[in-house]
Amino acid sequence: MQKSVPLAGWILLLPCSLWAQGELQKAAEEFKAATRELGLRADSPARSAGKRQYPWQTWHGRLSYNLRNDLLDAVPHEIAQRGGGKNLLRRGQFGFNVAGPVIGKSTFASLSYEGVRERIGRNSLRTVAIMPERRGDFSQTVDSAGDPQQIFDPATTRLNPDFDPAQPVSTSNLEYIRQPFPGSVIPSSRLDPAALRGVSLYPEPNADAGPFFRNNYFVVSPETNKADGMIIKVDHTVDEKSRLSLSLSTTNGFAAASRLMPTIADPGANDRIYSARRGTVEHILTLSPRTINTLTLDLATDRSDSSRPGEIFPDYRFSGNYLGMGRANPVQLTAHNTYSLSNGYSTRIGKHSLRAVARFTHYQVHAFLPHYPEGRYTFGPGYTSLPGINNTGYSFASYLLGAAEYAEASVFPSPSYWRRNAASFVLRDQYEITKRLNVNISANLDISTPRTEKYDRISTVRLDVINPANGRPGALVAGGAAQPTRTRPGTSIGFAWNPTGNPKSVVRGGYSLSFQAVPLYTSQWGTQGFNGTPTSISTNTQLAPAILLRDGMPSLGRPLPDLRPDFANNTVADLVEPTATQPMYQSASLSYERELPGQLIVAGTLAHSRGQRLFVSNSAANPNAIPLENLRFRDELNNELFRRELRPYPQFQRFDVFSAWPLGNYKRNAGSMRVEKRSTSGLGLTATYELSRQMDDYSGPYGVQDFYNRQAEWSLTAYNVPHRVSLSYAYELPIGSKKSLMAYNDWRRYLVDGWSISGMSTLLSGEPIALRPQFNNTGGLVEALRVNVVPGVDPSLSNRSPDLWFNPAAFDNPENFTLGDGPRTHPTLRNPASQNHDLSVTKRIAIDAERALELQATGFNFVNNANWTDPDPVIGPASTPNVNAGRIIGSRGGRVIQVGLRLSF
Amino acid sequence: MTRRHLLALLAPPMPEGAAPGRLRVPVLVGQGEPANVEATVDGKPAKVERLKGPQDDLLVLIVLDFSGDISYVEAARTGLEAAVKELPPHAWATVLRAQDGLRVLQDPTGSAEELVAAMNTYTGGGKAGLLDTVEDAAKLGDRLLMKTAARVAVLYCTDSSIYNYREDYTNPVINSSDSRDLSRRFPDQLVREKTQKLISSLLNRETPIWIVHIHYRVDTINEAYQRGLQQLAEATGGEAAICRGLAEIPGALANAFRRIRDHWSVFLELPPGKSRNIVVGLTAPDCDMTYRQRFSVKR
Repeated sequence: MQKSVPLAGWILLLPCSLWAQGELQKAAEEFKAATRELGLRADSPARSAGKRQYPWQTWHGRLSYNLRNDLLDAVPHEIAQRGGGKNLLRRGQFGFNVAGPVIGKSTFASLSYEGVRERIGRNSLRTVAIMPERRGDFSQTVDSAGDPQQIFDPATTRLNPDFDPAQPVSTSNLEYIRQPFPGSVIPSSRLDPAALRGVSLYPEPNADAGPFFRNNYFVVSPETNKADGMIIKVDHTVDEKSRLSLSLSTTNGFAAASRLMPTIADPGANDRIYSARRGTVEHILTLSPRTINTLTLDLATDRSDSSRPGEIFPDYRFSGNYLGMGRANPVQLTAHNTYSLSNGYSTRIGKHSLRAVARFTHYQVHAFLPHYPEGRYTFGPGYTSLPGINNTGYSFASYLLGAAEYAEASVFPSPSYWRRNAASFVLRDQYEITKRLNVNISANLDISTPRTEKYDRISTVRLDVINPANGRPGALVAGGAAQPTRTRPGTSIGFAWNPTGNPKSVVRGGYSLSFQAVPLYTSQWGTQGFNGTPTSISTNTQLAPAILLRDGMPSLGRPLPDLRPDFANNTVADLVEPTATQPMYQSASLSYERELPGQLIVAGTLAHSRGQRLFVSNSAANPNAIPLENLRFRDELNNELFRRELRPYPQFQRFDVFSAWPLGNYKRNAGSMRVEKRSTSGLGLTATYELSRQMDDYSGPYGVQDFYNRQAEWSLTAYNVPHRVSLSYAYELPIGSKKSLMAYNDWRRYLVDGWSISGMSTLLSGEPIALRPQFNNTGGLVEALRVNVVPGVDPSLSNRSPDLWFNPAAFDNPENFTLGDGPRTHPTLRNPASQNHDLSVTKRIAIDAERALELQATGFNFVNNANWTDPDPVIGPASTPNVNAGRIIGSRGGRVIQVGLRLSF
Repeated sequence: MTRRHLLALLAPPMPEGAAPGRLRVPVLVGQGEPANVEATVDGKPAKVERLKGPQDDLLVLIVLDFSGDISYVEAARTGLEAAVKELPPHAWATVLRAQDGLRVLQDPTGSAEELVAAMNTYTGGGKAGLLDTVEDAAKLGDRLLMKTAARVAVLYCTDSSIYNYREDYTNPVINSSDSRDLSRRFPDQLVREKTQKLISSLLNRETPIWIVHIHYRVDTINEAYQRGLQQLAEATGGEAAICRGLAEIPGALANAFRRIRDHWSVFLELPPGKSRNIVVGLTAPDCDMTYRQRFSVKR
């Protein structure tokens, strides 16, 4: 309790106060002297005369090395399950950083370098032809139910005189009669020599994960990566109001992909030589304490040369799960250049903080990407099937006969040089309405020009131009911009409100509306006429091949460029969306955040977002799709000549819209909670939980069933993870000479000082299961057929396990020429949840005031948890069920340890 | 005003300097008064030479470190203006800036107008400077503590982002193609290392440091940075406030000034010993107080 000062005291106080003023005056004088000596004043001798300091006295930096080696790791579960003992991993990551003043204190420079040398094993479990199949012997081949697989000899095909066209094709009402190969063996004289050459390059089975002979090829192959990069930054203070900064970065590297087979026919990714350069110059001019102007110039270029010289092989694809041969885009040369100039002007007027930004960007993409220079060949079961009958025929048998049901080649004589410009103008106002309520409003205008090609080698199909070949709309046109310039306004509004006047409680809300410009894709899409794609299509995949391998791909037939309007006829034609419709995104959120005693912060957020007219790819958009009511024509649809007339644009097979057709929609609702705990004892902890639900009409591994009914495609987003929990923490252990425990001051302090741990854990619930039927007999009308739902059967299991994750009896393969009535992604069935836990332990050893050594050991998935793989989603018909449906055949993951050393100076 | 304060005012100034064998411990009092405080150093009793409290002279070194959004800066200016106008006559302040090293904008003065004018002429912009200047600020504070009888405290007002330092504490990706780089899985390690280094250095100093960070950022590295600032301030006997919104800024600044104004300084005579790293213990009857416990001292 304080006692009040009597009057006498106050009388004394005045001179004392004056004395005190004198003491503060003395402090002020001392302050001036000290700051002058320390060089903190404009008139400091240290500043004007310049006390010489050597770079090693003023420059700081670090040296670091990180090591990973499989000797330290656990054997990955997927390797152990295949009987392996380890997975190759050799990785060294090394670098340095130095930074410091270069001219007095006005110019500061920083240089960072990092190199990586890595060799890592990649594993893959696939299905390849069993040994007898490689010789044409399919007597041991079984279907997914384990029953013998029948293959038929196409050379024996004849019309069935007893066929009743009024009845569906069935085993009792065959349209064509065809004899099985005797003993299910194709005579060696019938085997295609080109196919046999492929077989000689195709791997033999080496595993038996099953079921039956499936998942019989397990390969572990090294992937190598070598990269060197550097970042240089210079920051210069021109004068009190003007600052200039420069940043340059460069990286060069070589990545050799792992191989799925050790031959020229390897379908794995290309090796890649790449480089990237970035440069940024920024000038900040402080016009007044309340007005700042920032001018920025960004330049960036990325180059990639992705190929395996001398290893170009035709791309063979087998329907079913067989591992293919060859690959698309065996040669890929690309370069991306971006030039951007922006200026931002910020000022404060009254209670308004205004910011105006103008930005101009020029994009360039150079691409040489011939998809299939040696041709792409697709093999299905149709040619060796009993026509019209499911579960007959075999794609590998068709391959051995050399009978491709579709073939395409790419004749690309030159690269494409794409150009696009974009400009944006943004005006933002942050308005302090009251002390408790702030509002942010911004409006922007985005202008984007269409892509052009440097040499005008650009073309697309125009749907309003008559094709001379058949007098129908849809013809190739060449030259100029295929899309108009688009100008779009966007906006956002947000607020922060302290409802109770307590600044520790904040309600935040916001809404935004934006549009996405058409990106400049890395492709040669939209160049038909300048490039050619000779295509062979089977007139009926069950009766005749599109091409025989031994005959090779037919030539283009016409010299390039060929800009006649019918040039793209009978091909998958490039179609550029003519209106340049831009995807629209909207989002809104509301959050409440409160800081509680004990430095505990709790926040809750509700968020809604939606997108309309999003760019989708060929699996979700096909403007040339045959309307599904034509399924009524049943087996007639197998006839290409008949089917073609049902297409809106019969002169084209389909359209390649790349990933730029504005048709997709999505909606997402989410609620999240976040808890943060900060502690000066060295503990920091953040935990978040999110519950979300996202629906769309385009995502998923297979595509959409009905291109003309988007509403019917509306289902859970294929990658929606409804429950997401994450925890991150960092803790400086309370031990050591400056801590509360084990505060040794003798030699033991070297052992106990400077320990800290960091951790990160993530738990994710599974994504929705996307089921698909084993057989799709719809005459090629439906590319992504769904399953049927069996009424009254619960798809969930009360005792689910990897042996059976869901109830496959709740679903069925649709009948021939009917659609599946199940959803694109299941509303309740989920793939297994996954979790990951990483932990890092760091020991800091202070060498002196400026130098320290840090040792780190980091365990990724340090608990060595195995996450289940996804269950088999293929549903067969009741007559030949997929016995593997709903089963999980393994798990993956394994602990990886990295040790690191860093010297800071 | 108590009799003790009056007597303290009349007493001759403290002997200058934190000479070897003497230590100033900043104390924050919640309730009561540490009038009869008793002290220990490494568990051994230590003599309390003197106490300085809220009525004693005070010099606040206000360091401005603004390089970002002007709406936050403006809110901070408003808050600082209000706070310096509330300073009592025995509390003076000085204004410095943190860009390109510590620089004096206004010499110590009791005139709020002069302080406000200096703050209003400060242009800010450019790179953040707190981590680069905090040792110099503490060193300057210690020099003043040694040479004068006033209490001295440093107050940083900053909107700094860890990404906006000249020196790199964010460990940016250099080889973008290195998809299996796990060395950046815990990206806050450089920040934490820098913070620990600064804390070790500041344990050699006696000046308490307050930090008001006016622009909270939620990303991992800035979280670590902000947490580091808090550790750093509290290691010196001061405090840090991280403002999560504009409305919080004036209150946080006012609170920081109030805590600085009200902080006590307990002068100890160090008992003989060899240890450089010492742990101080203070007890005072009927007084709820928090104080700096750890120091590195010259023996």
